Amino acid sequence: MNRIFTTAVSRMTLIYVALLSAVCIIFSSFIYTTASSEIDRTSRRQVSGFRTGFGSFIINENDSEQLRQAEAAEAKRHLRVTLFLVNSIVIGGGAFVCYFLAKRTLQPIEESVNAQERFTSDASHELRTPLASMKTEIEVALRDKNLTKDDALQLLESNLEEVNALHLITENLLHLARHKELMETKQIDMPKLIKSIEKKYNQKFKIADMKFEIDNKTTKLISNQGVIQQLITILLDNAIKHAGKGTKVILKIHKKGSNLHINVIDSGVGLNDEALEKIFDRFYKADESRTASRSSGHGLGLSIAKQLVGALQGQIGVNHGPSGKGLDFYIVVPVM
Amino acid sequence: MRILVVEDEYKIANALKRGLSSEGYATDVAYNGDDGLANALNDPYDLVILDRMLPGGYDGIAIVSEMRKSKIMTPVLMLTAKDSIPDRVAGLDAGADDYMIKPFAFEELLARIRALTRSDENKTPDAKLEYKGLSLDLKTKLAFREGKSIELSLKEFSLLDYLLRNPEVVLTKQQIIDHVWDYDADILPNTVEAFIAMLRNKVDRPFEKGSYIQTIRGFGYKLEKRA
Repeated sequence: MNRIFTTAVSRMTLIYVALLSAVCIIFSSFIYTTASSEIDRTSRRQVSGFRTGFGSFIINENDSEQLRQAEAAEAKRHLRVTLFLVNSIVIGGGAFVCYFLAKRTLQPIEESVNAQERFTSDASHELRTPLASMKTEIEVALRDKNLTKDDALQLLESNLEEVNALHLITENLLHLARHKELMETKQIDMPKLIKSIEKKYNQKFKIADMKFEIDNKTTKLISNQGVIQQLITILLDNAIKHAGKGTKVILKIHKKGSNLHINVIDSGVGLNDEALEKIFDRFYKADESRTASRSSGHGLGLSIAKQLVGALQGQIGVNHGPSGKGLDFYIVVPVM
Repeated sequence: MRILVVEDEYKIANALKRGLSSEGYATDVAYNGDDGLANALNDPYDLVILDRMLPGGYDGIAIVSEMRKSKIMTPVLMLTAKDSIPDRVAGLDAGADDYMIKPFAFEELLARIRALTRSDENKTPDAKLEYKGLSLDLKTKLAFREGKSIELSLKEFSLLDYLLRNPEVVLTKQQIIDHVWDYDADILPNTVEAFIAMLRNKVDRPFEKGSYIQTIRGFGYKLEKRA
């Protein structure tokens, strides 16, 4: 657990316990005052009872007074012990309950803070890596006294790649920041949206030497168009980067009840169960044999998708493809 | 001196190899954790530069731990884009000797490499290796004997650097190859002999009295001052 949360939980527990103790003490002292005045009254009555009932006995006034006092003191002592025991049990047991209560209260906050921290750390990792590539390449080239024009051209090309990667990442981050502010919903004309996506991606899939198919069964619905569009874009970009040449990608969209289902299914090599579990984690890249043209921004894309889906109170996940081959990314978001 | 770079970003890895090689370090590159660990365990490196997050079964932390478990105490410089304090602490506690955050300055990396490979006798401020009147400036790559400066080629520099780090120790040809040439280098059986001869021509031959580079027949070579 995060240290801030450990201290927060202890502090909250202390406050709860202090409140509980205060209530217990006030309550006990109230009981004690009431009960002890009752004891005093009863014992006085008993003594006077003695006197009237056994008139023949001549009891010394002083003796009876002492007896009365001793009895009352004994009763009060008993009362004090009982109250002390009860309070100890209540406060002691209460402390445990308070601790778990405090932990439960703070848990969702902790989770969201952790997620935020992870995202920031992931994003900064993703921003630093292209910068590090560029910096190292440039510095090494500048130290080279016999740098040829070809070397320089190669360096510029490589740097441009990194600049493009950085551009993509910053765009994604800006989108995310903007969407978080503007989570407004309005009517979306799905066939129109899909058409624009189709136009853009037919080209992209063609370049990547892959097949692309769309199966849309929705017409009009109410949600945030920007977010829906970006979610589809992220999943399709992800498929282009990882399914590989010659594979086929299907975008399936349908509405079931009040939920919009989006699936992006590819016929690539897929992933093992372990990798599947980790794919939304931080900047996990299952692809081990990365080539010189690194696929930057991949991890960030899915990470952003997860955040966006969370903002729409939906779900995102991935399964093995229907025929056991490839991957089936799914998004389910409530719409109207 | 031979360095292993374990880094999955091709561009960074290749730029490092290029930059380090031009500084006279024999440099090998592993692009994933498993290869990196295998190399670190099997070859006698003088320094390992290790990326923290790596594809494959072993990340930077796991590689350092495995190395230390196998009693390989080669200095490890960890390179990473993760800069939080707990990350740095975890890296150093796992057995890394130093930690650098990406993006880093190449100049600083070189300085840290020099620092990590300094022996106890060579903690001088001027980055020099010295043995009985023969010295080598690690920054300018010039050798000095009897007040005269000697210019060296990159390989001659690496060779003299290795000899000066192991004075009065008999070094076999294989040991010399392991520490002066990288994995991809083309080495013929007489390559070491050829370079030793070139080095002698510069360090011993021009001087009237005394020699430093000794041949030990049947074993190899030794740096020792003889009159």
